[in-house]
Amino acid sequence: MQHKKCFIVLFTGICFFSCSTVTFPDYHPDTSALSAAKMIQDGLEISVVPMHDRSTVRNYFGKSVEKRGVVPIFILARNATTDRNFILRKDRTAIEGVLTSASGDGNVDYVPSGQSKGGEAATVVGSLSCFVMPAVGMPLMFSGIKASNDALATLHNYKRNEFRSGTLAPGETQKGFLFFVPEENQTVQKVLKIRVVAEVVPSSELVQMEVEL
Amino acid sequence: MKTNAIKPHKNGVIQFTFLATLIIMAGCTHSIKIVEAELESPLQEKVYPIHAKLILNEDFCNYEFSYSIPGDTYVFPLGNAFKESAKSLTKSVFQSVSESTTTSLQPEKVFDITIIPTIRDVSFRRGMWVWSDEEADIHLEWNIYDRDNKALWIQSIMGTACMPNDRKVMQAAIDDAFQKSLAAILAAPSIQQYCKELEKR
Repeated sequence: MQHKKCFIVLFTGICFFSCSTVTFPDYHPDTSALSAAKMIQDGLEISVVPMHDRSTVRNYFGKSVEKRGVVPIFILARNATTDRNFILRKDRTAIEGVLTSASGDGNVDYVPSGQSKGGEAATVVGSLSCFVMPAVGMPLMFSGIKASNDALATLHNYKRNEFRSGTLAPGETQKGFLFFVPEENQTVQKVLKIRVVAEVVPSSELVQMEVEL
Repeated sequence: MKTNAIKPHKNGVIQFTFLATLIIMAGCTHSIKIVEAELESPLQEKVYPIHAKLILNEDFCNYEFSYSIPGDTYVFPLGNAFKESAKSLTKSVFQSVSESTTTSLQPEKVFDITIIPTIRDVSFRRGMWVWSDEEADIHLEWNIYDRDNKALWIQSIMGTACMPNDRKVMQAAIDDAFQKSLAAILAAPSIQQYCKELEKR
């Protein structure tokens, strides 16, 4: 009888623990943070806010992103002109930062943020839990499903918040995160600058900006 | 006496756990069919009076999204829905549309613009229970080039939906992505300006 009670309590506890998938809040930087690193060139305004604080990263992107050492960098672009269109391409943006390897040597690296196909996000977030948990069996099935659902939710949130390519018509804004993903044995010490290249339509003239942090 | 009373129950739990583990490990793959987006047609007939070339590359036409949870894999073959939706969208917006599978951007003066739709990401958020809400996002990117193959309009559109059903939520996200794309293409100042310039020539 004692065993039965224990089993019911344990089972109910697991069910309650597993009853919802992880959620993440929306990020709204304050105006002072946005004006700290800001640049205007040819009517294109770029504001950048790097997220260095690990607990903030965990809050907005989850434990796996924080553990992997990823530094999310918020970008807000605004077309302040009245007659020009700008094309912002994610594959032309780049991040420069100081990385520390396991040996402790600091080096400056220039990482093109590239065009996301989602693959790197899967690497960062990890999908291990989706395949390992079935083997654990029925008593842990709920936590297994929760673990894989949470991994999916983290990946979903990561992709949803990514900065993407787009055309900015006069007065329009575009925002999103670039992710500075270090190698496995490295940690991001500092983000130095963000390079953004925009194309003016229809002249195809390039506007190159380097926002220093 | 007590020990004897517990034994059958204990054996039952072990057998049940063993059986459940076997069932979970055996796993299942579910293929979920999605159809093309239902688009609300624009008010004017053939809004842009220009000739367009629509490039439908292999990645776009054969796109497949899948995810796994313990015991199950869900596969969404989305390529056909993307292809058909892109065709119907462009046909409702431009005067004439020619389809192509080649990705080379050689200048072809026959066409006023070249359109390349690309799927950048599909992501999915599962609910814990059957009745829980699920979320799907489709990140669709439109690359539109002029006669000289200069970028005219590049835009990422996110179609999103939230409801408690795998198939319905994915279908709604695709509908949303293409409906938003239709509105965005019609509202794009750079395309409108380009069309006016072509009319003047």
